[in-house]
Amino acid sequence: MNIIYILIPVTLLLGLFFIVLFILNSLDGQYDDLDTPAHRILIED
Amino acid sequence: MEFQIQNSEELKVKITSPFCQHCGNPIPSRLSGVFCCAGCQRVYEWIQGHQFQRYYDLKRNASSIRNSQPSQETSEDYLYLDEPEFLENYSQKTSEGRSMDFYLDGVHCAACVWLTEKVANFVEGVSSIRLNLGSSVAHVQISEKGKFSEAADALEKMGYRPHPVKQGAHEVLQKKENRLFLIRIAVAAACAGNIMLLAVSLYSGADGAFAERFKWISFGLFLPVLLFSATPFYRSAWGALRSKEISIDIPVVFGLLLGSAVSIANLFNGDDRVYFDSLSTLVLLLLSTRFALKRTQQIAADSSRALHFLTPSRVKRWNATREAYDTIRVDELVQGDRVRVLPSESIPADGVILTGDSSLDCSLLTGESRPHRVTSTDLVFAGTTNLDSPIEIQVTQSGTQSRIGKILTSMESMLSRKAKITIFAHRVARYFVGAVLFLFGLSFFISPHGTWTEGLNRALAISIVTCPCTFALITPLAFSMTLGRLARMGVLVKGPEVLERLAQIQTVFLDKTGTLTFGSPQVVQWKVPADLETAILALESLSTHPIALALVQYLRPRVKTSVPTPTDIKETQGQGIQGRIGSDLIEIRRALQTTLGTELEVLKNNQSVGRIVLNDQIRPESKSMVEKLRSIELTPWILSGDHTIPVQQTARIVGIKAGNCIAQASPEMKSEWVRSQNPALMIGDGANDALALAQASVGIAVRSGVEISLQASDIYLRTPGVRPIYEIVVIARETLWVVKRNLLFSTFYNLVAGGFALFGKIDPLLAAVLMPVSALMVLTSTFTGTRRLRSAFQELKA
Repeated sequence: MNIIYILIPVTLLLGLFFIVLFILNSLDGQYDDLDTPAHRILIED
Repeated sequence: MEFQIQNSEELKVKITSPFCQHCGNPIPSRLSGVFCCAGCQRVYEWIQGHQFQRYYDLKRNASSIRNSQPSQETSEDYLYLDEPEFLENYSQKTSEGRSMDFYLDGVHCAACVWLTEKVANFVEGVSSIRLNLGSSVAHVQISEKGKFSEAADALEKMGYRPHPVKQGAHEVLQKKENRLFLIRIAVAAACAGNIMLLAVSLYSGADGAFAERFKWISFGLFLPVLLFSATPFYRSAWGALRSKEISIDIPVVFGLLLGSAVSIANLFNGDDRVYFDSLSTLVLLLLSTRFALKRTQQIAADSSRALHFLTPSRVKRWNATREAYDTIRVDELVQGDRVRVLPSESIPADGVILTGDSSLDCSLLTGESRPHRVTSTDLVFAGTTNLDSPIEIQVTQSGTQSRIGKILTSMESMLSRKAKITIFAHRVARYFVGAVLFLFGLSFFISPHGTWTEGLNRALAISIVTCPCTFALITPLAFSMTLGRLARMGVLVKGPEVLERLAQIQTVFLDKTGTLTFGSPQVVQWKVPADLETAILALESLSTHPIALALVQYLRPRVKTSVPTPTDIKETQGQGIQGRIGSDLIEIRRALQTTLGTELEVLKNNQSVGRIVLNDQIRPESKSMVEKLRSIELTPWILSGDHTIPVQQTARIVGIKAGNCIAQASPEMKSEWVRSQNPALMIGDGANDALALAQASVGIAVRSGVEISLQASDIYLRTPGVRPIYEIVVIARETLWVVKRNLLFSTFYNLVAGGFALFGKIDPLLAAVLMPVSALMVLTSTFTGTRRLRSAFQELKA
């Protein structure tokens, strides 16, 4: 079970990486509009 | 206007469909054709003419986020958008040029996104347009040479009326706050998820060194939730404490801080009772529902702010030294100025007529449906519209000193005095806090082992399981769901407290002109040979008189052939218009003013060949709406500024008792009547309704009204007419019922859970199971609503 001592830090680091990514994107304005992208994806040009 | 349908096969198919070719709404039975109104036909032709037919293909397959509306017939002048002063206030400098935000009326699906963003392709100087469907705001970017007026013009031709939106400090701050809030939610979600994973292994039997480490990691993950994600609750609870208000956040923060403190103490003492999982899930759930409510309220507030936008109007003032008219802004007018007002312009200030005979439409100011004849030395008031011929007036009172200005001022003071009521759920929270504190104290004393740590742990269990999750969670959620769904159907509600007040009303006051009726002349009788219809359309399209507009609106969906261009046109202001079509001389002129309304005579080569009667008509939905209101035990009244006879007539037709009619009411009288009958609902559109709208416990402003009535109201309808009133009342009542049902359930739950905790029967595992289960139950109850709530939303959608 000692593998847990590696796995848990790895999962936490992975989580941290995605949180930081989300924060950066959010500050960039990517999530200002939560409704349109779902519709825009249907238009192909 | 030249327009021909090339494919007659296609046309036949279209005619059999009872829905408008452009907006998809049902076509009124009095019209034949493929459009529901002249506005839609105009937009349809424009879209076909610009080869954007793909719009309709996209629209057919796209799901709408709100109802499609018929396009309004407007012809606004957007030149003011290009003025340096306006650009300074409303646009931002960017690297390529300038950008401005517009609120667009009527955008509702992916096809709208496609069409509006196409503007950049064919209007020169517009570099890009990005539309946000949720808030209906389009971000327009132009180059140095580009003009906002041209972009706005194109958007209007597409059927989306643009309203400029100011990008002030408030908007920038709001955007920043929303981003931060989203980050708080993300952090709470990530941490709560990981804590839950560790908690599951603890509950399923991890022990020894594993258990010890897992608890410490959970603690580490809990810190960001406690110190970062939950901060909005601390701030609002502290604010409420300082101003001695009741807020649901006080018990939330109390439970959260106490739970954290004891869990941390237990962690250091090696006790197993740590509640990091329950607490972080609680924060996540609360944050998410708060965000949902905040967004729906923001969208309603933003769109009503954009719609309040007043076009800066211009007036022509006589300059004695130059002996010519200067064009100035209305707010520059002072007493003694001489102003020229053309037909179909509105009177800019109170004054006296110097020269000219005309008639005025006073319906917005007084509610009177019939036009007023005026001549020199007569008094005129700001806010009325000149109908027939140019007049010169001398200004006596302008701005806030004018009659409409005074109404506006007293309306504002009335609004600021309007009592801020505490939401019902928050009032309940007070008793809740009391009960928890009492149990909390009690648990110390009846602790069997008598040790203070045992007492403290039991008290903690109480504060965790009874943590007002259900209270704090479900109420905003139920309100935000209702507000969001209403907004999608064109009903903008200013806040959850409006729904609560609306559920208590007993009396409904209805304005007549413009609310129960159309507020503008409509064709009621049409006795004209069919072959003259095209000719009349050709002539009347040239005039801006309200009667001409009514005729054009009536004829345009009926005329299917191309419209000829008349020659030798002669328009006598307020009397009629004549012109030659082919070899025939056609004249349409005013005959008499009868009890039926305004009568027009149609002459062909000086021979009378037909008659048309126009009058203000009662909206077709008014009668059934009044009936339905009565079916839920509300008393409808008519509160009108118009004369007794038309008011009584309307009352008879829509089915309101003669005793419940008040005619010839001044704005102050209207407001007094509403005050005496509060809690009342007032529905109106005109400036004369503004005081009553502000005075009523709930005011609903109807589309097409003036801006000040929108400001005074609590609810604003984006669709013309009064059809949704009944459904709105039912929805408000049912939403309140759902909230109460949830409160009832959570009180029951808290009693049971609190009892268990009191006798030391609750451990962290049970707390972690009980809390989500109780939240889930109220969530289900909120999402299902009630049968009547669902059917009211169905009705509103239809």
